[in-house]
Amino acid sequence: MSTGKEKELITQILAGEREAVRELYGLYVSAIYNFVFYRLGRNSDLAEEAVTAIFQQAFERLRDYDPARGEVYTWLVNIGRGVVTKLMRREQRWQRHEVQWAKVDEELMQIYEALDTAAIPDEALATEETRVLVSTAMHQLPLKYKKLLENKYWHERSTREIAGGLGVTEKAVESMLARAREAFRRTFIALAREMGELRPEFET
Amino acid sequence: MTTELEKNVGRLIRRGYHVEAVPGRLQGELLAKMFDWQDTLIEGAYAERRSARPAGRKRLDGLRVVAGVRPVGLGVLPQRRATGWRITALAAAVLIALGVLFRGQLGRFLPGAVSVATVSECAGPAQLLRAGETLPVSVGTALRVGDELGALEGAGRVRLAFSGRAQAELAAGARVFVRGRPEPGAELLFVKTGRVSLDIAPVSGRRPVSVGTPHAAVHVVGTRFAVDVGAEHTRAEVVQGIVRVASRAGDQAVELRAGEYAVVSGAHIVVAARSGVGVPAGRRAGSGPIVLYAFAEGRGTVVRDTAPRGPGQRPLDLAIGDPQAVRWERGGGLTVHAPVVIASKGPATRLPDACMASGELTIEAWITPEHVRQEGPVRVVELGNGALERNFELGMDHRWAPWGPHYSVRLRATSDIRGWPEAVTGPPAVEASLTHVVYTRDRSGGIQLYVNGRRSVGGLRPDPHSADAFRQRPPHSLGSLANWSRAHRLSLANTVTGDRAWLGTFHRVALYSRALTPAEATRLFQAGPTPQQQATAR
Repeated sequence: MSTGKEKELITQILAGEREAVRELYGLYVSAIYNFVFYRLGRNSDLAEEAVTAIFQQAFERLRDYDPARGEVYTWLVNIGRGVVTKLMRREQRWQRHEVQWAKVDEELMQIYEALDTAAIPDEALATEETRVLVSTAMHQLPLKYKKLLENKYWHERSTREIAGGLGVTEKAVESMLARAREAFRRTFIALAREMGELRPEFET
Repeated sequence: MTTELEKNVGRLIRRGYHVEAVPGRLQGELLAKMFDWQDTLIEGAYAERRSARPAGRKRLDGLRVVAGVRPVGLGVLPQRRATGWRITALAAAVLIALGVLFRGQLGRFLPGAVSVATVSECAGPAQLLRAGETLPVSVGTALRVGDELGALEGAGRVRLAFSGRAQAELAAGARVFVRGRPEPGAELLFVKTGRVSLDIAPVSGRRPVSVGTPHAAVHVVGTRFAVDVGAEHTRAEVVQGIVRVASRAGDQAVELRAGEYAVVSGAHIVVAARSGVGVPAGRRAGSGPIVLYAFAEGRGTVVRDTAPRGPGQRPLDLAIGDPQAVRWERGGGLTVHAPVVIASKGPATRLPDACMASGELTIEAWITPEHVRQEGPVRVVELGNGALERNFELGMDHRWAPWGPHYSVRLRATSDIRGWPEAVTGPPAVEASLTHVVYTRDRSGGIQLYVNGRRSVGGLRPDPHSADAFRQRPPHSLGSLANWSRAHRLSLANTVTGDRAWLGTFHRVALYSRALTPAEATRLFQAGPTPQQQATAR
């Protein structure tokens, strides 16, 4: 959604348009839910709590929203980071006993580090650690990169179809995809390192 | 040239990516809350709170906490302590002043002031939460606005007596928030979860008493009724009198009379008689199909939906994209001899509305495939938006199953939005002859497939990108149908985008919002597609 349209959406919400609230809900609830769901160790109760808190804070601050400083999704994610941090602090017991990060051993880490140079073996692809990392990384990406990668690899749409949908050239899509893949790689590896570093603490 | 990173990212996403469905409970609750927050925003309450905040101090969060007092309603947000003694003192002073000004009236708006009900019977352990404290419950315990009361799992019932001849009975496992007295326009209880039966004497005035749930508001003039709240739906059942049930997430509302019940899930309401089968509100047409195509038109470019309809309901007719690709058969039937899209012009909302509420589905088809080497799976029937997203599809393929040609069904559920794994008919291989296929999915996720009146379950074919193997065991669909899309179109002989064409003859296609029993599947086979074709089949 363009910044102009997002601004219009916020204006409509402030004018009392129920449909605009429905649109905001439809556009972002699933993405925000998945963003917090994976950050909170796939705990659906906490994720529900977080999503409610994020949208409540968003409504409280809606008059202060400045489209020039970022898209609505980015703004919601920024609120979400604070909410997640508070929830994790509150749920110290959860951190000790229910942390969902699977351990990433050194061998897997080496495979992940070589994403751009060597093919991932099937055994590594099939591990639970890899699956969790993929979903977590995807849901932390900027929305435009996430949607692009979803379209290309999950929905298996051709570059031409994606270009048609976005109203840009195939060349532009290829260029955006290259950036999206790189963003995915960096996020994926950063999360994997985080998992590896967290392991000793959660094994106690 | 494809780089290693490109290949790896593709493989990782295809194999490992998962989008978690937003829980149905959150969907209904959150949208209703967003409307409330919008109202508060427009009224300027947030701005006023902010401007009243002392400079340099951490702010209070909107509607959440005033001086450590729990807000009335669902306490889903993190509990916070008061941020300082000044705020506490200020709020306490305001409360005292309000108490002096409004005396007993304060109890209608804030917790902790006046009792509005008492526990009249307590047949097992119960829990009372008040301002963050857990208190014992026994007969005679006074309940205040804002109290959260739960009848513990495995316990007996807990009965509440309100002033003004209203009673509520909590079944084991039920949890409620006490909201007010049985007065015109007031909300008596908010049922968070579980079953609560209510008996409310008639209230004078136009504004009825109501009972809230995360999904619905139940308005009652004076009657006996029950509210049962699950994770993704609310069921309201009337024993005596009349109630009005309104969805929180949409504009739909229905009036229920004695002997009827309504199930509210998201924005949708389904109404049924207690002994009947769920059908969408306004469409109480018994237990028949939601849509039915008998292919008896004989000519034209439209396949007519001939299912019985409720007042004001429009048939879900299907337009034939290319009349040159089909041929109407004498005595009934439509033969597709070239790829074509036969689809509804708009979303087939009637189907997801009914199936999401019932949690069940039956696909029934009388068809004759042109040949059995078709692959895709090619689509016999689909409710989807293209090759990749659908609520359900009945397909056909000759690959994958060890016994060869088979029918398959993919069903979108909260466990997998793309419908994997697909359920496959078992051996022997299907033939290019007149065939009756039935797929049923019941509320508990149980799946059955029937070919020519006989149960025929081959197993589950997993997502080809997953590491799972084909499993030859009775299939079971995980999750619920709560995440079905209402935007999908219904199509025959193809996807709506025309990339999985099936060739053959349609004799009958029917879709039900309930799981037919094995006896019903057999009876439908014995009845035949039409009298003429029944004779041919013999």
